[in-house]
Amino acid sequence: MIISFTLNGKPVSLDLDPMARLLDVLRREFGLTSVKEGCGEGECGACSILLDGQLANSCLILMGAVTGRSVDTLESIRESGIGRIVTDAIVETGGVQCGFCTPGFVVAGAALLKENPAPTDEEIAQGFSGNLCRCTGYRQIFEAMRVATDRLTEGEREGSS
Amino acid sequence: MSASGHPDRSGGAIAADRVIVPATLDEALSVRAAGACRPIAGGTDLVVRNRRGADVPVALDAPPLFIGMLPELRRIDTAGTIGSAVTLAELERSPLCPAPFKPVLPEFASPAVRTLATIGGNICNASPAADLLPPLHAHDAVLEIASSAGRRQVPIADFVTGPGTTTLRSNELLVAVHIGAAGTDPARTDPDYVFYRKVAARRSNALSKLSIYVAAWTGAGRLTRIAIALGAVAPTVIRLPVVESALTQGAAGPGESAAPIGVDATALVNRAPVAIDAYASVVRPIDDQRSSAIYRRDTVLRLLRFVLTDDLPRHLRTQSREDQ
Repeated sequence: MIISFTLNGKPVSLDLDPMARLLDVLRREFGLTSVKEGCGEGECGACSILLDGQLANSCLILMGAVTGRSVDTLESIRESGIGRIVTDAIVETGGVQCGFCTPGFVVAGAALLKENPAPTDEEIAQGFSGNLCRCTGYRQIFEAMRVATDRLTEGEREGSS
Repeated sequence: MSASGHPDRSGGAIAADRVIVPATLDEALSVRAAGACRPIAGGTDLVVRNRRGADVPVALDAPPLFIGMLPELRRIDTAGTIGSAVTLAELERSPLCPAPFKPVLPEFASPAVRTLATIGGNICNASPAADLLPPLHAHDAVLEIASSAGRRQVPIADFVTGPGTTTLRSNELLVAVHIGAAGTDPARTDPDYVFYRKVAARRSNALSKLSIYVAAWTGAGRLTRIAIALGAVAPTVIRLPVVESALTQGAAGPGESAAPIGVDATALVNRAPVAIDAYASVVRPIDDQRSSAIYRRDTVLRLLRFVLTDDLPRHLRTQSREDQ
């Protein structure tokens, strides 16, 4: 069936199997390979995207449920203000080891900061609770969020002065 | 796998003219009435259960019916009515979120799953480990069920009949959950004490080994009503209304002062052992990959004892001191 939705800010329309997973369509039809398949069952967060602006697992979403909705992947999120800040911070703090989980963490981190620009450590842990890093470099990823939070607050102060 | 050795990428036969993304509830109900189909709301359980690997469409036992975006199913009313396709993230953020769900929602899966998972899906999937079922049982939730022929209301205890089984008929959809209007039945107003524990391998994104949800209505250091729901320790949620009543009503026992309503902390502690025995006689957990029957049984009964003989009595004593 023809499925129309908004992808990274642009309207798209494609003849797709409604039972195809969004994860597979993003990778195969659109070449958006930041979206990874880790567990394929919503546990690991490597396939994280934003659905109507909210963090979601693209491995759990069928194309029939995407009609008329808006999907954002890391490819557009990293160009946004918050996405850029989180991406830079995770590089600077060494929050990338093998890199497989990294796009999911950046998407989850950006989603968290968009709602809560100054999260506590507990809130960061909650925000990342659906993202697994099997290199276990969580400390640096947390540090990246603190760096990103500082920059966001600085940005706000400069913006308001 | 097809004869060529490649997975079948067609996703099964869905007739080209078949409505699978209805625009209205009426349209969805006509599709339900017309023949077998599989309603999909968030899909977080259905997709995982039926996935076939990378780049292969998910296959179901019947044509899909995508109901997650139906506007009629996505409302939260002040009257305590929650549309079945309201997601857990929406419920969590809503100022109209009924109090009983507040402790449960942050422990449900992960933020990304809560964006997708719906209240109706959690109920209809009918897992013994479903996180929302214990509070829904404790608050006597009533389910609104629709078909093209009309509507019916079913108490949640009469809806979920076993693991994965419900009394939903093939032409019906669950459309809403009623928690009840505040100020009517005391069972429906917010409790002033809630105890919730989900015991799982880790805090997030883990299915529960067992859970316990206790709501209590108290005043001036006296317990006037209690609702206890135990999850994942039997095929369906355990709730024993007769035992709940016995904890707060009936003749004063030895050493208990005769008072108009409810029981004080001491009386509650005295009555607890009989109640715990009653639950012990109906708790029948299973051994599975998440936990063992003996661990589940022991842990749920210990948590219940903690609530009835320690945590809730402490709440009552604090309340009675504050009143003086």
